[in-house]
Amino acid sequence: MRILVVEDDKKIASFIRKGLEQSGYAVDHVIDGEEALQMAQTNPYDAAVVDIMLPRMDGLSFIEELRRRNISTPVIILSAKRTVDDRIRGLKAGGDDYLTKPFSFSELLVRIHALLRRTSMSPSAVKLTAGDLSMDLVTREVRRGDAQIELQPREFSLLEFFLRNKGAVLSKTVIMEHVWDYHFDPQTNVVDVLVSRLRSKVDRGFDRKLIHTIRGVGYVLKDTE
Amino acid sequence: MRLAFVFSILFIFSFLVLFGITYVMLSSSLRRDDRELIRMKLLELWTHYQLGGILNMRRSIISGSGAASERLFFIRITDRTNTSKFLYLSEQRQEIAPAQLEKAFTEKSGKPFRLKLNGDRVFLETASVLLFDGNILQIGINVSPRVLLLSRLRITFAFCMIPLVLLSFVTGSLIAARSLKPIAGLNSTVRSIIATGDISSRISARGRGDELDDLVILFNRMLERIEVLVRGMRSALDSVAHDLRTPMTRLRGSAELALRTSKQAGDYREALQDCLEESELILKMLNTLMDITEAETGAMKLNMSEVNLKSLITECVDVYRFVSEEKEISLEVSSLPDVSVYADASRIRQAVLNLVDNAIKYTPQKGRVGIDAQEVEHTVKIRVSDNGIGIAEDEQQQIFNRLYRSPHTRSTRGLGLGLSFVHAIVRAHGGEIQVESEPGKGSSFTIILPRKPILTHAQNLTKL
Repeated sequence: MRILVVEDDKKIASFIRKGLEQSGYAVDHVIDGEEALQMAQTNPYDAAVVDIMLPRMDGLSFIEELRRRNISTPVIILSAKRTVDDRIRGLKAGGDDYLTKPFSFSELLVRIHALLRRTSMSPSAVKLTAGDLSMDLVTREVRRGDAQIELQPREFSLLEFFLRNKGAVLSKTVIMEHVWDYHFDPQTNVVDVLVSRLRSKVDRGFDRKLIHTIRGVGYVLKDTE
Repeated sequence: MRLAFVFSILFIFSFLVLFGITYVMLSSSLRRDDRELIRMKLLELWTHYQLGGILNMRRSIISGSGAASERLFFIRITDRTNTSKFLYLSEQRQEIAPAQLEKAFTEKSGKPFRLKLNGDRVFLETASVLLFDGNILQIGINVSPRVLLLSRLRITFAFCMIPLVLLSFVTGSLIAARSLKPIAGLNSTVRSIIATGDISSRISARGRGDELDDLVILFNRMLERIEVLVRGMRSALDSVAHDLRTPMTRLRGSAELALRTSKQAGDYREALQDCLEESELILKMLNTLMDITEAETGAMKLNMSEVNLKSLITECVDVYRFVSEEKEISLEVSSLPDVSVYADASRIRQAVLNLVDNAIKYTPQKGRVGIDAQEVEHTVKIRVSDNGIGIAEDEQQQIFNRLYRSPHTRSTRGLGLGLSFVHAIVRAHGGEIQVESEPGKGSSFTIILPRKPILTHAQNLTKL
């Protein structure tokens, strides 16, 4: 999996690059739109992370140019502008997702996963697993070892989200957005409560815990220690 | 200046037209009189001639019958070859050579013409009639008085024009200055605003209710709106600067402390986690402050649509189901009316979520939080009530202020922005929020929204 990162801020670029490389991706980094366009035309990338404010050719023009040349590489837009209009403009230009700065790396990773999944669409995935935990998306049956686990719809949806992003740290905002489908920063620990309920059903009584808390960042489901 | 010019041109033009009409009417009336006179005279002479030939006619001339005989300049009888058979000239003009007259007369037959007599100019108007014996009777009358009068009139007018032009220009300038006075006021106000950046100045309207007053009022409204926006931005900036300092200090503190004292990886880890949490908090505050400012200043874009109240509240309750269970708070939703309200669904949802969040936060274990909604006339009311700690009366108005945190709850986690956010959103929808509370017994917050689209906060501002 090869990802193109187009970002002119060195620090941000290096933290995206390091993070992606640690997660097992190959990364190419360029700092302006024209160079990005050349790279994208010569290499088949699986995804691109593009900042809007770029020297020479800005991010939106780059994406438009890309789409005009029928290159359908999924693109995540990074921007410091957070209004709905900006988001819409980005998606209209041909972006697939939009992330506002400052963002957490885990959120970027989750979104990249989602994009890659969307493009490489494996419809056979009716069953998700992690260690001895399995989830059947058709019968909606969840098992850990031999025991069957009863989950409420929200808990099911959260667990599915975890399993689809195995190993990735999910921030509270991402979870909130995915499970309830809207942006809201609850002051009360809505997400913590949901995660702890799921955890009590999935991990209680098992030596090997699957769901872990990463303080200050979010939660992660790992099937290896 | 241009306006003054136009004014004076108009003034002069209308004066010219007026004069022209007067002149034409006067001259044509005078000419008609002269023609009448000439016709009468001709008829009279013709009658005398017919009755008694030249002699009879001559007699009548000498006897001076006829009112205007003193204006009669010459009488001539000529045959077809234009040879004079009889010529009479009025006494004063005996010096004219008949040949001179004849020549002029044949050249300009029928038209008024001009004769130069000893440097004096005489204007004549002539007419002729065919006599029974084949001779022609010609007469000419002196029309000099008329011509003189008209020429004097023209000269007088020309002299009048000079002061008139000046006068019209002065009047024009005065009128222009007078009608442009509010615009001049507008100009100087705008100039002073540009120069000083002080947008609190206003232009005074003259109170006549004309278009210029409308312009002034509109301009003032625009200033008003800009002022609200700027004030909102400034105060938001102030609060951001002030209130981000605290979490920033904590963030800095954690990092500094770790660098200065820690020796073990675990300590660094702890510090970094603190930093992340603080930065998360800073971001949240920033976003919420921006939202509040946008909503308060009317810059928030609302995606208005028909929103079903029942499903909206059900969604909100669903988010807090687990949390309330955890805290053993009973989250009660009474029967909701199946009505829709014209609003921005996601914003109203955020408002309700905030209220529920607060209610749960400030209600002790095994407490009760209730949500109900009802339709009252043209409004819908969404009420979130609890039997929690309540709010003291003197604090009830302050709770909607940005960053206000009650001294009783300051230790609880929170930004102090929730209620002002709700307040701003509800106001942006043209609604209001009410609070009833008794310390120790609980609080109830009611969002009142207009059902039908009415002017939003932003539009209200422009309507001021």
